Amino acid sequence: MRYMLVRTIVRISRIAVLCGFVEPALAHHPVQAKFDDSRQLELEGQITAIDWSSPHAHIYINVPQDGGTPVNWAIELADPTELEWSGWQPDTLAPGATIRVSGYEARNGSHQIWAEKVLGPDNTEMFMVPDDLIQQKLANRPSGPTPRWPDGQPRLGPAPGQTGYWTAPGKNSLVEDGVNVAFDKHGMLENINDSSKVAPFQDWAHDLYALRQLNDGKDDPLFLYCIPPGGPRQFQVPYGVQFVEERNRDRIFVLMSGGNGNWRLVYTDGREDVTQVSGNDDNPLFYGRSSALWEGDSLVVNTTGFNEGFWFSNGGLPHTRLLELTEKFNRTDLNTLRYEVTVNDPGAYTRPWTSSWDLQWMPGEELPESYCQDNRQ
Amino acid sequence: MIKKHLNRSRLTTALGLMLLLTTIEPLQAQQRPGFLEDDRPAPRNEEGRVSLGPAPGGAGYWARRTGNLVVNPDSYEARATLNSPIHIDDVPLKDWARTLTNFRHDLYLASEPYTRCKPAGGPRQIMSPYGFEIVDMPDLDRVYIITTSNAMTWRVIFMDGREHPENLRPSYFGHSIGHWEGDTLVVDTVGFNEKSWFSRDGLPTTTALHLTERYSRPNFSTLIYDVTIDDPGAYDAPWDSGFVLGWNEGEELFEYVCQENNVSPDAMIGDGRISSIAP
Amino acid sequence: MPRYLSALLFLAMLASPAIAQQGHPLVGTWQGYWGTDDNNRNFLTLILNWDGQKLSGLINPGPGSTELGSMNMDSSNWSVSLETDLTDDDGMQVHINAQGKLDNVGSMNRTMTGTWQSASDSGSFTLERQGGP
Repeated sequence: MRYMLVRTIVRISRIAVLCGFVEPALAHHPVQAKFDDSRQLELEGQITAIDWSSPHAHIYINVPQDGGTPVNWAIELADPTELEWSGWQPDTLAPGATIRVSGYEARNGSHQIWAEKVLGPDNTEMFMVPDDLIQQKLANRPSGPTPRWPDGQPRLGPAPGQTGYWTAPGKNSLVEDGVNVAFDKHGMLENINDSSKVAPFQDWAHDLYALRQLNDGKDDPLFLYCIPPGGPRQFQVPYGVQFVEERNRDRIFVLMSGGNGNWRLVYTDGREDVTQVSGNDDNPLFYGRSSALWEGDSLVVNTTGFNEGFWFSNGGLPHTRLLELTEKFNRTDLNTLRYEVTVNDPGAYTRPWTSSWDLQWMPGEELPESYCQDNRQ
Repeated sequence: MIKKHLNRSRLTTALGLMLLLTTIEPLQAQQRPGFLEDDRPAPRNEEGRVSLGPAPGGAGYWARRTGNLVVNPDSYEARATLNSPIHIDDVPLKDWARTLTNFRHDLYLASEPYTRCKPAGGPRQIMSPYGFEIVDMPDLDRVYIITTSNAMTWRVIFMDGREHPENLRPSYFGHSIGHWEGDTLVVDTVGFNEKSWFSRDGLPTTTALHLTERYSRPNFSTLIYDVTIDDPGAYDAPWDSGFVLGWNEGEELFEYVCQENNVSPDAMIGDGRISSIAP
Repeated sequence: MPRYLSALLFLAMLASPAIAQQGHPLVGTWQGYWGTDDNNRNFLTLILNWDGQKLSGLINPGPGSTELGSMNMDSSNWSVSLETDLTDDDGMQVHINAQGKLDNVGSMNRTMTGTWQSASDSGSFTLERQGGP
């Protein structure tokens, strides 16, 4: 009941979006954190510069003003890797060319716009990526059995002489297995009334989650301040993860492309869970302290020692320092990594609960260099 | 042209330790880092080549001690130039680049992007006191350089003989291809962006930057880093520099999140204009 | 406090560290003032913890610090209530009841404001969540 007014506002702005424009293709994160989808804008101007960097490319244009000097606007586009996969290059258009742009204005009132549609000099649509780009890229992958080390243990990384990484998470938010609720690609609930079904929340945790949902994710510390995607969120970010398995050191680096391009270290010898990564009770961490053992074909990772400075899922499910994660990684075939995480946080939830999804192997591509920090302008 | 500079660089490597010793020795004998004296040989891998990681069963990482890319007596960091043989006056900076370098020093390097949590490539990637590991993955034909600080991130060096691609997208770490020359890891990198500083000295670079880096390990505890800097956008000629790093034995990399304790979030994000912080 | 000083204080707080804890909204260090009116205000530091079951806290850490008596939060409207002993700036022990409300719960700049009553007095309090864990 208390959500009624806000929900109506959210719905109205979504309706406006649906009527006027198509949702931006492959918006990689809640652009709502930076851009206000209720403030539509159309601009026309001459290109002054093109910044083709991750996570989002930018085109800068000079927009003429009546009787004044032109204003330079930053047009924010999709990720350069996906732009290139869609056939666009940084030199597709040269400075001086005239383009027309429609999209959302930046919340902070700066001269930035999230591009929903870019029309080139001859009025053709440019610099957009199709909604199903990743599916297209993944459509014709060769299939095969799980690649294995000589001793039979599954490889989480590429086989020798090959390359690739894990992407396209099957879920966009943590949600308890068996619960059927719909999220958008940013982990935002399609129906806010489903909020209490998502996980066995304590009251305060549910209400904080609902508040973050109603705020459309604009408080998200990942997008506001590039705070790391610790916990399961590192397997929800759109740019992918890679495993570097150093078997002679009994450790695995999880390399991330989204967020800040961080790494996470997982020890695979089940060593004592103390001060491994200079973390202890007085120094809680964003990625925690991870200790793992292989159980058959599953890598089972136990992680504790988290701080409370980040969101551990898209959509803003809360956690506390009491969080303990048990993650299971199971590469069921060449192209599929089953990820299952059990959340045990008596500070925010009433009981342990489990969420799982698949990640897809992107063969033949390098994990992109991408820094959140780069585009926070 | 390239061959000539590789030769120059090889010479630098050969003379590296000697240069360092002569640079350090006259200053103050007791300041001479102990790791240079380590008489244990560098560990070797199964193929018999020097390993840039720990001995089997061990752990450790490399960390900067006092090395800088150039000696600059006018820098507020001048004391930290112990190992660097190149004086800033001998760096063939173009006029604009020298003016910019001086400007940055006049402001005590306050506009450094690194302090705004931006990654920094080239020599700067490994100049953090918090250290890095060189992770050799021969069956993947890759070497990874994984750093604790410097945005707690990673860089990949392709060892499979590939060439640099055309139409490189400028990036913080560029595109790196490497090979072994005896016990020395030689890395060739192009495709840098201009969004960070590649040294602690505020020296500018452009997207034309081409680095040839050589990593060698004369004893168990010492890593010598030689680099040839070829950037016709900022320098009139290629020039060589380098520094040494020490081995932190038994230590593991740790979590370091620059954003966590950065008390100036508004300066941290964006382009870090000087106006946004007090120098 | 003159109004412009309050405004300056508020601006200074806006520039405080970015990293807020994102767990239980009350956990952490809160600072501000309590008093009977604008001319009679006491600086207050309140450190709050959540163990998954209940809230606990420490008032004005250091010599003369006080354990927080009891505190509750109703997340359906983000209201808070507490009952505790406080030492005012004159060193007098005061037993108070307070009721308040959290604002900007989703933000790192959240605030807690409300009113308090003791046997003899009443007034208001204003606290702001500080940076850090």
